Amino acid sequence: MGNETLRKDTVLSVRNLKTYFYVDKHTIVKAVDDVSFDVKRGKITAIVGQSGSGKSVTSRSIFNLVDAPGKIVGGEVILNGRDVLKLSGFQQKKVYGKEISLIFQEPMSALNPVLKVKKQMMESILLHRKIPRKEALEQCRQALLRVNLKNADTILNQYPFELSGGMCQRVMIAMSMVAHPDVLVADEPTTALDLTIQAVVLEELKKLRDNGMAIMLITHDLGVVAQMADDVYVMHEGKIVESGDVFQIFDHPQHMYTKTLLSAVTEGGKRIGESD
Amino acid sequence: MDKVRFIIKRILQIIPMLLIISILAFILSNLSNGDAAEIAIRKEGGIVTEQTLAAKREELGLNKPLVAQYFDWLGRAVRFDFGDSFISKKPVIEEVMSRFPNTLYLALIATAMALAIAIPIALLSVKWKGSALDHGLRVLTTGAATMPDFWLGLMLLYGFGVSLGVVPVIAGSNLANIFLPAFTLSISYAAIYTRMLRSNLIEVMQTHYIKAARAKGLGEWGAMVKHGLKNAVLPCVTLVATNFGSMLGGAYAVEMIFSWNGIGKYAIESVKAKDFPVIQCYLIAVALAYIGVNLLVDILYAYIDPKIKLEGGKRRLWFKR
Repeated sequence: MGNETLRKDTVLSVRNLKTYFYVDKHTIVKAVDDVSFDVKRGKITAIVGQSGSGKSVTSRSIFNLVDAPGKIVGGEVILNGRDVLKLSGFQQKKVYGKEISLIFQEPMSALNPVLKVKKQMMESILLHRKIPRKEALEQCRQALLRVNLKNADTILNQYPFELSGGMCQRVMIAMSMVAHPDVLVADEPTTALDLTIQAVVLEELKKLRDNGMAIMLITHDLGVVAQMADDVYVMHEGKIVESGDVFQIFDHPQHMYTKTLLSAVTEGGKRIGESD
Repeated sequence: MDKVRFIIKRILQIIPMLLIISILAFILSNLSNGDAAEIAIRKEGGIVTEQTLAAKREELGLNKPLVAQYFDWLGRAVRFDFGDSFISKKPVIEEVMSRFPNTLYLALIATAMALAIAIPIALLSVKWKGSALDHGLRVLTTGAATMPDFWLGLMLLYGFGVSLGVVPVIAGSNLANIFLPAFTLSISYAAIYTRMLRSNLIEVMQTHYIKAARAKGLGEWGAMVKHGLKNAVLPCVTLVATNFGSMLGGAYAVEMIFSWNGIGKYAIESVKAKDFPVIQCYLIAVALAYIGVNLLVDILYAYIDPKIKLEGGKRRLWFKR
C-alpha cells in the first residue's frame, strides 16, 4: 500500500553505484563506492559532502559522462523504471535531456562560447520534440522570462560571454526547463554565484519542485541544504554515511562525519574562519 | 562603422610594407651580375660597343643615380607598368596576370582538399582516441607530413600517368587536370591540419560545455560535430590562411612537375633566364596576394569568432563585463 505510492514517487533511484578511477596499474580511486539513493517527485533531494567526496562523479555517472581513466564498474541508475546505464547509446540519447537534465557548477563554461544562447536553448527542445522552430523559440523566450531574465529577446541573440555568471546560470536552468524533464540534477548550481543571484536561482529551483519536478541538488553548502532540501544524503569518501529528512539530519545527526560537518558550519552561529 | 575604419586602417598599413618589398625587389635585380643594357642589346641582336651601350643606358635610364632609377621604376610600378619581359617582349604584368588564375585555382582546391581530408580524419581519431585506428592514422599523417611534394608528385605522375595511363603526363593547365597537382600539394597540409585539429578537439572535448551538450542528449559524436568542431577549427584559421597565402606565391615543385602554368613555374623559368622585370613583378604580386589574404582573414575573423570585435585598427579579444 504505502510501499506502492513510495515507488511511484521515486523517479530516479540509484542502486549500488560504483565508479572507480584507474589512475595507474596499482592505484584505484573509488570515487563512488556502493552508493544508493532515491530522488522523489516534487522533492528536493540533497547530496551533501565536502569537495572530493564523490558528489560530482555521482552526477556524471548518472549521465554516463565519466571519462577515462574513470569507469562505472557496477550498479544501476533506474529512471522511470528502467536502468539507463543498460540502454544502448542510441536509446540513452533519447533519455538524457528529455527525462533528466543536468545543471553544472560553472555556468560560464557550461555554455558553448561560439554559439548563440538561442541556438543552444532551442537545441534542447528540438532534439527531443518535433515542433516548428518558431514555437521552440517562443518557448525559450518564455522560459527565460520565468527565470527573471526580463530582456529575453536580447539574451537569446547574445553569446554566453556577453552575459554575467548569474545570467548564464539562469540560462542553464531555463534550458533544462524547456525540455520538461522529470528529474533535474543540479551540481553545485549556486557555488559560483554571488549571494543575491544565489537567492534568485534557489527560488527558481523551489518553484520547479513545487510544480512537481524531482530535483537532485548536489552541494557542500549546508546553509543551502537547510533552506532547500526535503531529503538529505551525506556523502563522505565515496560512500553515503547518513541519510534522512532534513530535520532529522540537522537536529539529530547520527554519524560522526555529519556531526563534524555541522559543527564546522554552526560553531557559535558563525562559520569557522570568519572573525566577526 | 568600426569595421569600415578597421579595414581602411589595415589597407593604409599595407603601403609601407609594399614600399619595403619594392626596394628589396629593385635592389635584388641590381645586385645580380650582368649589365642590363648589355643584356638588352644582345636580346635585340645588336652589337655591343661603347657607343651602343651608352645609348642603351641613356634609353633605359641606367645612367641616372640608383635612387632616381628606383623612383622611376616605382612610378611606373604603381601604374602596374613593370616593363616588358626580356624573353617574350610582352608587358610583364600581362604575363604574370595570365598565369595567376592557374595558381589561384590550384591553391583554392588544394586548401579545400586539405581540409576535406583533415576534418573527418581528426574527428575519427578523436572519437576512437588511443585505439588502433588512432595510432594507424597517426603513422599515416606523420608520414604524409614529412613526404616531400616533389617526390609524391613524381610518384603519382608515374603511377597514374605512365603506368595506368589515366591522366596525360604533360597536361594542360585546365581544371580537368587539377586533381593530381592539387592533391599532391594538399597532402602535407592535410597532415598538419589533422594533427592540429586532433589536439584542439581533444582539448575541447574535455570542456564543460561538451559535457553539457552530451547531457542534453546529443551523444558523444553529436556533441563533437555540433559543438566541438567549430571551437576546434577557429584557432586553425590563421594557419590555413597563411598557408593559402604561401601557396599563392606558387608551389614551384608541384607546378614544375605537373607542368602547371602558374606563377611559381613562371618565376623559376624567369630566374633561369635572368628575366629581371618578371622577377620584380612576381615579388610584388606575391607580396600583395599574401598581404591581401591576411587582411581578408582579419576581417573574416570578426564574423566567425564572436569574441573578436574589430576595433581601432587591430584585432583583439573583447570581453564584456
